Amino acid sequence: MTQDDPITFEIIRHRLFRTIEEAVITLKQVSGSATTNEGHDLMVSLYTRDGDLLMGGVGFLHHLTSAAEACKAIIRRFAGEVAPGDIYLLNDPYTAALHTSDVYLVSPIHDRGELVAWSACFVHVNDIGAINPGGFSPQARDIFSEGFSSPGIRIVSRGRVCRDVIDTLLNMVRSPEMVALDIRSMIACNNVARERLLVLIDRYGRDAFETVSTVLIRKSQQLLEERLNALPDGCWQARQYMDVEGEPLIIMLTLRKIDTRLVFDFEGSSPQSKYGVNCTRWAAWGGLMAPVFPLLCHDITWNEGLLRPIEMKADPGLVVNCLRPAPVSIATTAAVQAVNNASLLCLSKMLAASDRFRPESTAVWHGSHLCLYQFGKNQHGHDIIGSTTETFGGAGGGRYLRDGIDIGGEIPNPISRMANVETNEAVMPIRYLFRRRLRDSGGAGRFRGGTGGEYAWVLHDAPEGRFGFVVSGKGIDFPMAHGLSGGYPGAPGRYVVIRDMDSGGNNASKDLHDMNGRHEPVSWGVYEVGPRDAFYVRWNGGGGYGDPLEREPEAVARDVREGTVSRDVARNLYGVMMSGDVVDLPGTTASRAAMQRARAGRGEAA
Amino acid sequence: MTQLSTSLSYAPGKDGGRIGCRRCGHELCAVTERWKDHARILERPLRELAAVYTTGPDALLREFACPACGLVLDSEVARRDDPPLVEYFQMSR
Amino acid sequence: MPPVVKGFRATQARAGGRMVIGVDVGGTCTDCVMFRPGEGVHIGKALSTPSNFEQGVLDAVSAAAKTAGTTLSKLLAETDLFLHGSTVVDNVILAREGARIGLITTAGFEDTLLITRGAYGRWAGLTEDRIKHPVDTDRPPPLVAADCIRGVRERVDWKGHIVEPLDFAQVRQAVRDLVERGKIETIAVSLLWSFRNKTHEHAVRDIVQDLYPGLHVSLSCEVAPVPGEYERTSTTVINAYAGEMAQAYLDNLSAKLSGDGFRGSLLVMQGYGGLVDAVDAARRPVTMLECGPVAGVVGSQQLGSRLGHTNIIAADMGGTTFKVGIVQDGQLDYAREPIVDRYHYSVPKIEIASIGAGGGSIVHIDPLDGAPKIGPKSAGSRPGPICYGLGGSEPTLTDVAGLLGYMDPGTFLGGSVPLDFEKAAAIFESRIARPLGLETEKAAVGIYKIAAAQMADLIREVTIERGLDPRDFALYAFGGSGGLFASKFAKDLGVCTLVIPATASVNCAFGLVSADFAQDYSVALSVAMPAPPESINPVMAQLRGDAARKLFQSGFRAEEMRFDWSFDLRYRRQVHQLTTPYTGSDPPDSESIARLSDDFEALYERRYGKGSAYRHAGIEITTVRLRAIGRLVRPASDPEPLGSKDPSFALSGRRRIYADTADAMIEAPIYDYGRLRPGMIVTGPTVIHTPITTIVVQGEQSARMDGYRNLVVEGW
Repeated sequence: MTQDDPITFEIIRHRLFRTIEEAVITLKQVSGSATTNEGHDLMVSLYTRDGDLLMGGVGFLHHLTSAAEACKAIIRRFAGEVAPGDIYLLNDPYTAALHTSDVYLVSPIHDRGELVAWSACFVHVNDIGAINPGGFSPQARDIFSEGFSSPGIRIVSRGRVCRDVIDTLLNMVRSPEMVALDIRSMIACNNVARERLLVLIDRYGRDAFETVSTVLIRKSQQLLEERLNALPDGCWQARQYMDVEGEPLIIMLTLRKIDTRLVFDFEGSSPQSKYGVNCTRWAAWGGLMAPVFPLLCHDITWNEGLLRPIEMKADPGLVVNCLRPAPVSIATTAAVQAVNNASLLCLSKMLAASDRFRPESTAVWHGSHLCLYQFGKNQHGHDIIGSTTETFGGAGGGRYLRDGIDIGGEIPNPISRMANVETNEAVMPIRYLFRRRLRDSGGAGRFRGGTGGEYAWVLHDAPEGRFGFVVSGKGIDFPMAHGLSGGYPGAPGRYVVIRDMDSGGNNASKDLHDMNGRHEPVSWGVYEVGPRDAFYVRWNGGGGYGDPLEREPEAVARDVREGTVSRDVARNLYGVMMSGDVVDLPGTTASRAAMQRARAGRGEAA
Repeated sequence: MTQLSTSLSYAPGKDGGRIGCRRCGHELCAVTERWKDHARILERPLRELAAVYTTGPDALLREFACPACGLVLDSEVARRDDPPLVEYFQMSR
Repeated sequence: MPPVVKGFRATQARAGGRMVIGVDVGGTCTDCVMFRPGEGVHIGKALSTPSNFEQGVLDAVSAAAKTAGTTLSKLLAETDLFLHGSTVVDNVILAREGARIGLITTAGFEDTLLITRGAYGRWAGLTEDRIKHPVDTDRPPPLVAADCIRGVRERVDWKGHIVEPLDFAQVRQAVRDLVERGKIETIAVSLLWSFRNKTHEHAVRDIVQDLYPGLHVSLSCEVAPVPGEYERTSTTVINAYAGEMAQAYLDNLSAKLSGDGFRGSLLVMQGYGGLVDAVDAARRPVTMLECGPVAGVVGSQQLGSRLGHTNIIAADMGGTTFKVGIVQDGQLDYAREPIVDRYHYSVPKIEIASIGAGGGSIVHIDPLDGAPKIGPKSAGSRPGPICYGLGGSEPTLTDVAGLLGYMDPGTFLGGSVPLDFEKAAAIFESRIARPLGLETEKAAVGIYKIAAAQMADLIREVTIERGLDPRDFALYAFGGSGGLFASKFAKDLGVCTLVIPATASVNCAFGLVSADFAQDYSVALSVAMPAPPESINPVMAQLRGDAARKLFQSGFRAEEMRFDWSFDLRYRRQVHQLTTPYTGSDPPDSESIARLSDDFEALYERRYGKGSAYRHAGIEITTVRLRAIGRLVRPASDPEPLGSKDPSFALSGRRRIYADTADAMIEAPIYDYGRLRPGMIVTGPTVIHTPITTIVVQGEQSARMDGYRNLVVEGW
């Protein structure tokens, strides 16, 4: 088969994607944890025999490139010993993983004894034996407190499970049953990927498969370079503030585009932190690429070819290229997410500079994850650790000519979703008081950011009269869902424990303001909710796009009627006056004119 | 005329071309200069702008407005002493 | 004139010699299959009439009556059972023509429907290429207007305990406001944990009916009593959306039928594969979603039991979509996350997977990477494929089939639509072949291969994700375009045999007359295994009692009743359960219960691979399920004797066609299905024409007609 056979090429390309889809289904079905099968905190991809990304699937996109590095690390470490039927586990962040909780399982694929490809997948395992339950450890001050960590270890050898290795891992984690299911789901997933790929190779021949792989990678590179050629040259910047216990950390990003090359430079970023919010070089690279795929390359196959025109510069010792043994357990919801946001902003600014590609530009969607894990004895008497997954609800950023989508997800994971309230209440000793969109949280703009959300729960049938949580929140003092072209950032997140809440409020509270008691804002550490307490959480909205004074007044009125924007914000940020439920057009025109004049420095202050 | 963003326009001309306000046409500067130096800069703590911004005192919204018509051309989240973000456009291609 | 299909005879005298009619209303065609126990099956086909579907129904029955030499009125007067499936509910959703809904929820959770569990509603139902482009995706418009949702104070917990009593006054006010100001036409009620405690939802209904007698109300605890408030709410809303229209449709149909002399029972197909009384169907129209294609799979199950196949892939290729359903060990399989258009719903529903690859699917070149693509846009039947000459100007898969010599220009649809391939060839050449740098013929062959490969991929997806191997399956192919591609992807998959049934052109209607009266019951029951029999027995006894009573009231005798039990089980800590058929004693004993655990694990390992079972985690039951079946009379099988293998009598000519194995156009014999007889064998490469469809037999394959007039294709 030569590259002149577009038919076979298309068939094989389609089959490769289907292979990944089937492997993802397996992963979701077998896992026990809500983060995997509700939040879709997972990834499955195929790699060439050298460990280059061959075909990336949907899921959390910042893993596509890190798992490539994981394959390469296994190739280096086990050179000459890789056998058919082997499966390797790797979760060391200083080798390739993003943090210890995101465990990679990497499988070589052999056709008649010869290595032809790799498959790799990850899930965020339920616990990894770190100092705090759930894997995000605010109390860790170095990698040694962040749990089991391997630079590459064989867990299945020639088809036989290495019980001793798995037992050692399970021995170190708080919820061995759940983690065992996580491992099993990944083994099953890789088995499916391998079997499907071998059927394909069997059908079309190894030569055809390798030719298609080479062509796919070359084509992707070529198409991206053509696209870059069609985009204007320039330089754009983004700056994220990541607040944690004191001075915010800066992630500074400069994107330079010249001809067909993109260079991302992190100069100006803070040095690494003593808290686990840092990320390693691999994680920063993954975080950079995550928005590149859907924003710049949605119609090009996601593989190694897309990486070649792109370069990253990050000096060692920065928060985005930390040095061992710096802690990194919170990386995915901290430095990596800041990198996602900064990368998206720079790319969007570049896209917005092109008449042709402007429709692809977007403000930041979900800027800061709720980094929140609950733990304790549930109503069934089991010790559990888990997330209620609202963070995977996210918020859409404002887009070119369209609003962001309320609780609309995030860019780095195109298939995220959150669990039902009932799913959470079935396994945790909690009862929700409410869960809804958060008014005013979408960044104001000509096209506003999508709202984030808010919720609150109280204990319910908790056998020990308590339920704990670990929190390492960012995006509280400084919002991280920045706007574009004059759009406001999305509103920040917040966590509040309400102590000794009035008993009348126990069922009736439908609003943070109704919840009478001692409000204790928290953001970092380990806490406990007791029988007279409530826990309230809000997560960020998406950034807005464009000057809010240019938003169609009727659109603002509609938002007010629907409850996503308050009258105060309508008036103060959008300049829209309402009479009852309807726009007061003359009033709006006058107020907007006054606000514009003030901005231009010719009138009274706004 | 083409656009450098949804708020900035570009017109070919002397010094490689001019950057302007997309809405009123006010010319800001040559494309080789930093346009933010020619915009009106407004800075306010985010938390004064709406109750939902429960941010810290150091989080400012820094806006760059057209000095002629007041259109916000761009904005950023910043601390007071952090310099404005820089951008430049190579229009020679 | 559609042929009379001989060889069927009813086994049971239940119908007492009176007629049984099955009519399926599809998007394009309305099909009728009817039989009298003891005589041959008659078929009728008519175009569907979307503005009032009932007319098409009568047209199709009239057509069948004519072939039996009788009239519509005479036929209906001696009909006992009228079995019906219809796309009418799907249509309401797709065309957005449903009722204006007022939704009542638990206070504090009013946004549940609108926020669709986050991005879930934004990406569900989209194809791969759109999911990878999130900035260009949106949620579908909600079926309830945002200002028609009211939260009321009440709260039930996970055990079903009432934590906060219902605020009756607030409910009254909300309902009044929705009706007077919101001008809503129907009410949907979905409260948290209602499936554990129905009291509050029942109370809301009482209030509604007190204030506005006759106002249609849908309760989530009745429509979809399953955990997961988003899907449950969405299902209830869909039910409300289509409720009144479905009721009116069935009332009108019933009236029209009795107006023409029908005095029997009208039964309606459900998405879980059984028939229920029209009165029950009207109450819960969400269960009619996709009932036509589901009937098709039921028909395959029935045909399979006749032919000795328990593992069947049922593939239906129509004008716009290619749909696949699975029969495994004689059982149908349920969908995990059912979706209609882009709206989620959660009722027991037979899994039908589909892709946009039908006869009318448009072939085009991707502007970015120059790759050839098929669909999902379709030319439908109007303007249709270019070769129909009805105004179509974009090349479709039908045109491609024509370029390969597979279509007979003169006899399609009985000659009523002469096919013209010249224009199709010219357009295909300039739009597809030239950009690919290929000759027209080679390009057409390539598209044919891609289409077949995508169909094979879809089939693999639905089998592999259940841990099944297509090589263990028989493939049954239906639909207007199924026969064109089936022999190609059958070979690709390596299935054990391919069958083009005699009833392929009226597949869904045939499924209707193969289905039973069936009602599903379920009770949430949380108990760890091994469960003591006394923890299960009373639950089963209660369900059985209710079910038996209902069947008896519907006129079934004890020997016509059957009770199929299954249990939802899962490993402790897992979220997903597997529905495991229960084959033990009724009432259950310890041995049967132990066997249930073993069966669950075997099913689990089959789906997820050897070694994936984790008994150490502990197993638990979550739900007890009962399907109560009232057996209906079927057309049964007496195969005709097999005659000579020589097919010459059916030879109708010769023509150049594309032959797979030779990879070239060669001259080959063409056969007329109507002149084939049981026993005849044709060898590939060849083409068999029926007035509606075409069956391609590839080189090295052979097709024989069996005693039931099915075509059985083998040889790969």
